[in-house]
Amino acid sequence: MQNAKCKIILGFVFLSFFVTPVLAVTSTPPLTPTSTPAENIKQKVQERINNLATESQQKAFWGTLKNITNATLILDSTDGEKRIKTDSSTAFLTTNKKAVKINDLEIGNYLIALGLWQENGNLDGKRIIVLATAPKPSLTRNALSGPITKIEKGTKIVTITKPNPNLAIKIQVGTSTIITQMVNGKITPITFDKIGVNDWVTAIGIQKTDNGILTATRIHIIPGLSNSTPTPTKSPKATPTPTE
Amino acid sequence: MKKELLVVILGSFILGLVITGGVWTANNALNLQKGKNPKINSKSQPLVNVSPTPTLSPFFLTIIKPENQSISNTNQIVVSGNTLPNLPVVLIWENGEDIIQSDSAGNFDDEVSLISGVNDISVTVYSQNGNQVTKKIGLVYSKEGI
Repeated sequence: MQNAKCKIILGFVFLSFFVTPVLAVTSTPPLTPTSTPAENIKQKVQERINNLATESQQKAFWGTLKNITNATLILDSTDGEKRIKTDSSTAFLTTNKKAVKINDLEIGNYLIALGLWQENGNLDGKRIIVLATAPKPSLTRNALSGPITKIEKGTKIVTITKPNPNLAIKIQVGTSTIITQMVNGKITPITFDKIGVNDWVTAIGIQKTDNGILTATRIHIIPGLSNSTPTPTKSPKATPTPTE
Repeated sequence: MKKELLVVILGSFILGLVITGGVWTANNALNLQKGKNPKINSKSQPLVNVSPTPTLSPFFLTIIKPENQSISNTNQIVVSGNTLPNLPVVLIWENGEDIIQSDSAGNFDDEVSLISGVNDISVTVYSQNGNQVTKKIGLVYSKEGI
């Protein structure tokens, strides 16, 4: 009987070891003062996410007005037909910031529409800038790239041979031409005398239609690149190699 | 007291059986696993020389930013992208142009100025064998935003 009593007491002692931490945890009051900054951070993060979502929705469509149907503007653009939904809150402005109405628009007007992109591919128009006609395209410039096969130092004419298709093109280097080369990871200006045959040259300029000579505004040199075999980079395909 | 001792001995015996049975089952399972995936350095396996097969990376150009048809409220933006390493990259925009070079990882970036309204930016990369890839991005610069 004495033994049984002893066992019961021991049992209670062991049980108390397990129950005490549980009670201790449940009796702790909620940490209200520390939860407020956490909530603030959560709220700020949510706001930022919402802002980013709206920013990514902000898009612009532009093109020539083709039609207006139920306050939806249909534009002809280089990417195809674009649709802009408008309502009473949509602002229509000329380039002089003069407010106009949708009824003032004419077919053939050039429009730049700013708004929110919709999942159906249309734009919910917020601000429409109206131009009478399409703006003139900017100055056409050409770019060329290839190995140098000849250098005429007196006239500063560099001849490159485009490998594909095999075509020789002359590049006129002028006094204002910017010549660069990558030095220690930085694009660095160099002088004409640093250019050599077999260097790889990339040039931007205006190409004359009569003689095909490109008057370069900018030239970039990769020295001796054309000597190396034109091989794209190799990425080894990992195959397990059993070893003995 | 003798009865209690007997219960303890019997209980220990059963526990011992359970533990031994568990160890035996675990050993069996491990041996089965080894049988399915024999060790590579097992002498029964013939030696096969497999050299890495080089695959040619295709010539490509990816524009990371800016997004096509996006709106900028600043007149300076950074155009960044990715291509094969150490290749010349030509950027032509409304009122300027530049030639840069991709780094050893193929990354490139350049600062481009914008004019008010629609801006077309052309990015071209040239490969050594005469190929070229051009990507065009259109975006609007508006101080006021939308």
